[in-house]
Amino acid sequence: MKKLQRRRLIISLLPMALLLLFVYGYSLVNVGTSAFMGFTGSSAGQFVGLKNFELIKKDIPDTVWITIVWTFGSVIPAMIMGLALAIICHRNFYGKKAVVSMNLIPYAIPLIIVASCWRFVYNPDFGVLNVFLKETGLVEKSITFLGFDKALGSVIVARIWRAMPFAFMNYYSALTTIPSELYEAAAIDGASSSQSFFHITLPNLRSVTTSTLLVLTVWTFMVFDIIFGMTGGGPINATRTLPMRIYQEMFGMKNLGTASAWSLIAIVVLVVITIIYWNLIDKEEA
Amino acid sequence: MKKTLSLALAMILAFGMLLGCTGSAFAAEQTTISVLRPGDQDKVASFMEPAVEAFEAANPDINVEIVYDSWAGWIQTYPTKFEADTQPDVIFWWDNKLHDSSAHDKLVNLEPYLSEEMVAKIPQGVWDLVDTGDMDGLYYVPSSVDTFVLYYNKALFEQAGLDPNAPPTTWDELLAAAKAIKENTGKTGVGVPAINGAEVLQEFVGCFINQATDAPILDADSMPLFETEQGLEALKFLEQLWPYVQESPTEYGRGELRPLIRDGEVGMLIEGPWAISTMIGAWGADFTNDGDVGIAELPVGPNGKKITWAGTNGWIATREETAEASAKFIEFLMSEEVLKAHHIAYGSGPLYAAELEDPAFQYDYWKTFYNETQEYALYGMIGKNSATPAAYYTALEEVWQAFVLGQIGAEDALAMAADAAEAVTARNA
Amino acid sequence: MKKVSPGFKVFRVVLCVIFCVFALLPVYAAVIVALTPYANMLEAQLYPHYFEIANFAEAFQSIGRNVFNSFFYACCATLVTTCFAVPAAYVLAKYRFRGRKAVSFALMLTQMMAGIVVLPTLYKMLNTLGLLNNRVILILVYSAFNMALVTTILKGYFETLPAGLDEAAAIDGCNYLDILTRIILPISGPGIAVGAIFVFVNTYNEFVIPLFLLADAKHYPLTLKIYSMLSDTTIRWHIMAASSIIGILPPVALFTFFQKYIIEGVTSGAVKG
Repeated sequence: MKKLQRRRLIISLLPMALLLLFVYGYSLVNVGTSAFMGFTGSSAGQFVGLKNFELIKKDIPDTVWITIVWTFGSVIPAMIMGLALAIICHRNFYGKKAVVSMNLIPYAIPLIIVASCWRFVYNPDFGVLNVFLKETGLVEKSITFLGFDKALGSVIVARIWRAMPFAFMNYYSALTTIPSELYEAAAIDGASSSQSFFHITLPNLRSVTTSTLLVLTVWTFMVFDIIFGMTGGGPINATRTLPMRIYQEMFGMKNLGTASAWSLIAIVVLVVITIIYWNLIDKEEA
Repeated sequence: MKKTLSLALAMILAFGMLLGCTGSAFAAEQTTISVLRPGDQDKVASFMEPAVEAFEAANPDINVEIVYDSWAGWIQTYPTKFEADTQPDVIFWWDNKLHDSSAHDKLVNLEPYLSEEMVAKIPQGVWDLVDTGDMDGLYYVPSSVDTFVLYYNKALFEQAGLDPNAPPTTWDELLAAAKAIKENTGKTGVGVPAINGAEVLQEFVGCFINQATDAPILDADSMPLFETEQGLEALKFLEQLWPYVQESPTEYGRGELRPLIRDGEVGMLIEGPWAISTMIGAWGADFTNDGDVGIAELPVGPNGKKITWAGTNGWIATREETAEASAKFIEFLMSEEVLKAHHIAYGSGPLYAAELEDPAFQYDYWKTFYNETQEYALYGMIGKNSATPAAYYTALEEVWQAFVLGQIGAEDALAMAADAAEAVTARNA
Repeated sequence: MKKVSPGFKVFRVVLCVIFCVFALLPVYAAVIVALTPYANMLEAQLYPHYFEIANFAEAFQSIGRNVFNSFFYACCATLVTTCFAVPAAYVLAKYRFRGRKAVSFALMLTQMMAGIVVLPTLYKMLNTLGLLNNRVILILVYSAFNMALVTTILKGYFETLPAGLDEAAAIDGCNYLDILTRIILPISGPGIAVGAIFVFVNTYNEFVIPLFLLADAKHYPLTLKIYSMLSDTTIRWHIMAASSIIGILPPVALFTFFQKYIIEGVTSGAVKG
């Protein structure tokens, strides 16, 4: 039986393992080595130590700051909005289904189309948002949403739009798992609805909040398409997050070494967050 | 049922093999080459399909396949294509990408195959643009030369109290006109394309630097030549011009500015011939007489020299095996008839004097373009001696964007731009 | 349930309207542009002033091939991913073995890795192997990027199946492959469906992978085509908007139709946010 079981394990896991090794294994190891190799000029193919990191050093502070603002600036509002909508939709009301369906739409759309659609909203000449603001007399001339000062905020709004449904779905199903007896008991004890929200609902959502926060953080941090399609990282470097740097070094500068240096930084962050997330799930399962 | 199906399948297979055999029998005596002219498929097809048909009729042993791709799609993927060795045999290329690390080793020397007569027809100034010094031979045949001219909206000039028949001819007049338009009409004086990821802002700023320094942006070792008094003079002039530029210039590319000058929202543009189709679309072919927009030679800098930016595109061949056929086809594409059709279809200025006789080129604005390619000193795209030409645009763009947004002044911009260019060069050392 | 106060009802309606307006705003903006003739593009429109259906016809003509490509890749990737993931998920759910945790952790790690991090080096490797611009490889890469997701969803599903099914079948003389295909597959429909929808939509929506790995314009999926339009010098806004609308219809239809499955999949903790 034992031998049979081992054979089954191998034939079941091997195809998947081989495919993942082919796609991820070599690439990830190669990021680690490429980050310390030269790819241009006379240093091509040689070990260059920390030279690639020195080349990107001057961009690191700005990039880290912009990436942090981008990530948390979109994740936290998205989660608050998702929670609000989930609480509303937790009770039945006329038209609820339509509301849920409409709010899932942003989640289905390809990110690059998200970028193109938001450009129609923000366009200074015919964008619907500027038209609205001008026709209602709120502003006199167009707001330059993708100009230097506002570009980061504007791409963050697009990201919130995209991430909100994910937070909503997580909260929406988590709410259904809170036993209704808890609320009934509280009501008998004379608790107001705000009291039961703070003492029953919120504590029961703690674990879903943590896991959603971690997952959204990881994926927002690495989002490429939205920024690429809306601003290309500019103006100047206003929206140049870490993934945009990787792309810029790879295709703009044609330097796999510096691109890998950025990737390595990203991988370290990703691994740390994955370990935290892993421990969290492990604890829950135990 | 199953039987019939498998029988049918077997027959299809056998038939396919038969076809395959006859196909390869043909291929033995025929050379097949593929050609790519990136851009709008309708425009490319309109001149390329008849050209290929005529060429194949004249050369029955050569078979030409047309590949279509948009400029943006091509720019994203040409490194991948070259590295995967799937690039077309004949490609419409850029003058500054002869040393591009993806393509450099694949370029074929066409000198043994091309006629001297054809080479001599192309103005020397254009050949100088392409010359990288260290590449022995003829790797690139320039077929379109696009220079910058001044587009101006006559209606807006009139509103601003300017003479619509006397467009600015010097920097000072350009500045004065921009100022008058902004102050008297509230509209934008000069449109500046400064959007990310395009090479447009570098070409705009670079053109003024070329005019002031009468030198290319980078020397043969890809080191900056502009950190001089004249370079600073150019940036100082631009600094004076910025207040009359459209709001949030980094949101605009060339494409976004064209409808704005057409509709009188922008007074002047410094653009290549690519904007002409927008104007023709609005007022017809004789738009400088029938419409609001006029075209004039580029205003000259304080040194009074006639200098303009010029970009060329031209043909390269990428495979030794098909070099002879490729060269034959390129020579055909450079013949007067085909070249004219190409320029008309794509809105490029005429390259040969003979083209000016065509009714499509009878309008004065085409003469403006033609004269510039003949009489002006031309300075082209940057990075032609570098393995990573695009990197200069990426690095300089950040500096010029900060400059056009008023975050840094002329002195700082000059120093930072020089540093940025040197840093790119240092990476390839 | 307590009665809802009228004040809350009003508040709820207002909030719902705000959420829905926000959710539909960009799509609405695209619809306006898609219905406008090019010559009138700069006109300020709060609601569509024109009804230029021809834009959609023109858009479909230029992206039809790409929509087909996207469907083709999505179907293939779904099939490949499912075939690889079913046995793996099954043993991860049903067998306790040494290294099980390590496998799960490795899977989660691949799940967290974004394409942009590994693609530059993957690109270099495939280039060395001469495998760039290869659609089989493209589909395999798509599958690898979705593998963890489907495995996790399926594993969760298999865990809910009663134990001992396979033992009973084994006693009846079935070999392992028979157990998987004859016993497990037929009753795993819902689990596989959830996974399949996500792979399909993810692949259909993927942009970065083909951006790096494809070179041939006739093999471009829709997303790359839309980007080409977005970055052209003269953006044909009307055609781009119409293409975007056409492009979002399939995934939106899938999501609306399979809403219940989608929410189930998301909360399984394996889906990208």
